Amino acid sequence: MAERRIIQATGMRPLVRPGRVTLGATILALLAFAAVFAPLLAPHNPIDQDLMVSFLPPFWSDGADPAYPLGTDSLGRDVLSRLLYGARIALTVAVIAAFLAGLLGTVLGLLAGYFGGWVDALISRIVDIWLSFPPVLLSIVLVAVIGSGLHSVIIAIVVIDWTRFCRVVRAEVMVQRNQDYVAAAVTIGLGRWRTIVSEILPNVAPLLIVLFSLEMGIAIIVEAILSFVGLSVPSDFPTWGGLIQEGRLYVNQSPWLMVFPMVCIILSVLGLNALGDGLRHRLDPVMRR
Amino acid sequence: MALLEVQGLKLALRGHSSGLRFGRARRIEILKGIDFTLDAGESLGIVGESGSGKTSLGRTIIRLHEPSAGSVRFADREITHLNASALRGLRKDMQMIFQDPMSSLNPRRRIGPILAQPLHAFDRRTKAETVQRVAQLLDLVALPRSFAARYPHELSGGQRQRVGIARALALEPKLVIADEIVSGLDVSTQAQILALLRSLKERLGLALIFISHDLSVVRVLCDRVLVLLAGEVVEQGPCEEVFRKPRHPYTRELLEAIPLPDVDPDWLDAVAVDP
Amino acid sequence: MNDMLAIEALRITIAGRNVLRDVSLAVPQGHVHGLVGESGAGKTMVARAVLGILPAAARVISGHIAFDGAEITHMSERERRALLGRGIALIPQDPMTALNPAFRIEHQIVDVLRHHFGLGRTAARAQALELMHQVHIRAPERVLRQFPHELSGGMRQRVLIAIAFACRPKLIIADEPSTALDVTVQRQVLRLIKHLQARENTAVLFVTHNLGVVAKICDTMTVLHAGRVVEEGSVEACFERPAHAYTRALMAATPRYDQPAAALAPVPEALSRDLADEATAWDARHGAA
Repeated sequence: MAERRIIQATGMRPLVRPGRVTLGATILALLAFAAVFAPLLAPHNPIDQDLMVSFLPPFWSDGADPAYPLGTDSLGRDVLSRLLYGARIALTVAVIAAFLAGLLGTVLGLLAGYFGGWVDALISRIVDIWLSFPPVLLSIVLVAVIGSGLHSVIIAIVVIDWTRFCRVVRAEVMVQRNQDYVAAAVTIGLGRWRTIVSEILPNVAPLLIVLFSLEMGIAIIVEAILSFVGLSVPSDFPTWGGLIQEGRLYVNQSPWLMVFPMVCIILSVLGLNALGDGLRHRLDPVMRR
Repeated sequence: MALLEVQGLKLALRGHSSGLRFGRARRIEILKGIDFTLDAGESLGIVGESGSGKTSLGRTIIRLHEPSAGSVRFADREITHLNASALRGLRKDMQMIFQDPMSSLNPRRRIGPILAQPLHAFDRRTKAETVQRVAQLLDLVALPRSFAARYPHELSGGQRQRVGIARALALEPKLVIADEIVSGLDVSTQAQILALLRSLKERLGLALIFISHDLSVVRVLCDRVLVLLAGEVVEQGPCEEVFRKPRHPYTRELLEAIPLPDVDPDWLDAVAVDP
Repeated sequence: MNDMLAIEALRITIAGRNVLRDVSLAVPQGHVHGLVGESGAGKTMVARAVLGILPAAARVISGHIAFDGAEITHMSERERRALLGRGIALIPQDPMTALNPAFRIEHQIVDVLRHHFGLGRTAARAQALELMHQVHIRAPERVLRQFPHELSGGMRQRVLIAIAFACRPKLIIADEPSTALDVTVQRQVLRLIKHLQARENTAVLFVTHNLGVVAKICDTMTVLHAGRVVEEGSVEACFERPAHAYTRALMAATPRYDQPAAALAPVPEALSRDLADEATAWDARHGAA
């Protein structure tokens, strides 16, 4: 047993896995590229209907039309264009929702972790109550109440997921707060806010980057769920969840209508998770020891 | 004229509630009424084993902990219950060097900004003045000026502790509290740091509270020593006297337990095997 | 008198840099041999080489390690594991982390006994109780039922000493076993190690940076600096007539409560430079690998 301990102690730190970060960053870059340049990249207008060319198969099948590389849907809309525009919405929601959830959660987490006492008790109780609601249900109810649309989707995600940031940041701040560099900041006369912002926050930042990329993945999924149940943007506007919902009706006839948006979601989420995980390994221990 | 007067100082901290105990967490008495005085330019060693409260005492004096009773007077001013803003002014004159320089230096800052921080907290200085003062501080602790651009983890333990000392001296304090600052260091590095601190103390006329578990180290640096046991002072007096003729049995036990580097086959046999 | 441990001209590199430069030492049966040096001197590397737990980047370039007359330098993992515990045991440095926090003390001792002796549960438990008596733990039944965090540092170290002596090994590697303890507890722990070692006639390689501890517990000693042996011999000889300037300098740099402050002298810089130069010269002579 003692020997096992030593092996643990001497074992080299798990090596940085650049593969995951590279993979994740590449996928994220592709996603961003598709989203930003969708109007230039898309061969067609994503909402233009042409019933003459409905249900065209993707390029590798017989009867495909090279003008519609990934085929068309029931109304003859170009699937590739719709996916590209869907990426826009997915990424917009992911970035804004993750940022706002992160901001809210981080501020509350910093306060709870740094001040402790009743501040912590109050914030922690709110988090506990929040966590006792089933998240997907809560978001559906929320959007149903405040009305559908992109901003509602973002609000729903923020309202649900700020707790994730808050809990992790609180725990990390509590660890950092007991480090002597914080005591040193106090003894050299820094005020509380400066201590929090200029001393503790930079040490929590790597964690925030990791959480942010994981949260983007989650936001993409939540957005897909909400648009699948029709609570996101108006239905003729292409979203990945909406595409799955439409494709579902024709799954026997044209399964690719459902497969393509699913692949998009899975790849994006996998990529963001890989990025978050890889960053966790890269950013965490190196500076500490 | 005493620079620091500590009277009946008590500290109680909230303990972790263990098991199924309901209600408020118990408060644990860590310091049970400490009295001592320290003159300007004098150095006092505070020694004790783990759990004696020596670290808490240091932190209570500099008000990182809020005392539960007693008083601390510094430079003829009652500072026991000063509020945060009044404390800031006080902190210019009273500084602390921490035990673990790795954790007391913000890992995400370079040495230059770390040393400049106390300067910015108190005076408005031009950039050039700050740079110059940082260079002076590095000179003072015999570190190359180029270290200003390095991160703490790029330094050795001894070098980091020199940075800790430089930061504490940045505001030219009257009193420095040093908490176990050589305990993690090699013998040769420890000797260098002790020599540095001794010369700085004399050159700058610092009063020093040197907290340590190692009585030998205290002997090197301190005029007087105070022995703590479970939050109480069991003995205090000039180092010479206390170390040559300890009056309290606990002090004697502590001294005898120190393995001096002399061959002595009977030293181990003199103690019972039982705890 | 046969040597339980004999190391001959051991040379080890880590990532191509020499960390042990032809280190030789011998620990006869029933002797306590001190291995002294500052951090980076290579003392831990020697201990790890004997235990076969060198870091992954370390290479044994040349030299021999013999245990009880048998070469163990390049033993396989399996053979080494058979040797550890029964032949060679370890008293680790950090009593806080060397015990598994999730299990009761009894579980951890019984584990070792069952593993090495194939004892039944009842027999192992009786043996564990006996061991607790041997390390002079007052309420053995209670301690066996406790978890590591419920014990003081000194108690934990006693438990670890019990585990080390449990299989009556011929050689014990004690890696800074008293460094983390208060002086009064340290003295008791040293006393206990010495007591058990003398009774069992065990050979002990006592790794420490503390010259005082060496003077009190060891019969013979080796002083390491930068992976080289700079002084060796009986403790009387080394302390009363140190041959090497570095040994003398280390002693002068060790503070003593019974001597006035002025007696302390840091290691002269010229000496440090000379030693560094010698190490460089050694590398040049032998190839920096």
